Amino acid sequence: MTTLHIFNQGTLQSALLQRCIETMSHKDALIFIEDGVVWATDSPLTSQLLGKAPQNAGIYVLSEDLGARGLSELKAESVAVVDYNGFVELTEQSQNTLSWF
Amino acid sequence: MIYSIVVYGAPHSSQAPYSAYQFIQAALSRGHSIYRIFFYHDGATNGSSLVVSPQDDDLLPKAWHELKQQHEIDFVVCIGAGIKRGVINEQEAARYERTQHSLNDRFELSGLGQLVDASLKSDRVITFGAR
Repeated sequence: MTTLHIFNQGTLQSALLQRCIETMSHKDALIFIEDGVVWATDSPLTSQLLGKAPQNAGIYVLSEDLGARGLSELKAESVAVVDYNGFVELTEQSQNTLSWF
Repeated sequence: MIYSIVVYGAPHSSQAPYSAYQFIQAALSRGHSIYRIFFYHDGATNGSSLVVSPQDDDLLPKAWHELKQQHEIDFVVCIGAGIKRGVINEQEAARYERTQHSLNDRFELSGLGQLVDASLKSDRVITFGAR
């Protein structure tokens, strides 16, 4: 059973993201939406946290929310961009979803 | 696939209902159906008929009404969340001795059982959370 984790909180909730990442198993995926897109940018803090995710886990960010915050240019290479269509596709592929907020 | 959606946030103060709306449009365009939208916590105010949105920010809650006209989707406002926020129908207004009621008639007030039912009858339940 794979799970898509949906994370929508900004940098104030680093402990929540840490718990989310600790919960992930290796076939899970994680998508950052809303204020959570800030975690998809390239920085020491984000790479330290995301580096703890299981190796095969896919990490995604919602393009609409990333662009709305002017962060598209700052995206980390390890994070893949999807639009709403791709977001829906991710939910098709995972039997479960878990929203962190 | 059959989807149900849970919305925790209010229009104009949270992105949750906007994200939910866009997700639903994308899911419908991929050929999925939406069984129910469950409006929980502050999300209950999506069901108020008294909301007046500013002209430059009027997507929701108006867009819910159009969505309801185009598709057969259950709109359920959690009754516990609704009565605490003044989102009540005629029946609840009578029960609590209020002279006014505010629930938009495209929405129903019901309990958490409807969320459990949505989980059982849908292939996917997607939550758009708000604090």
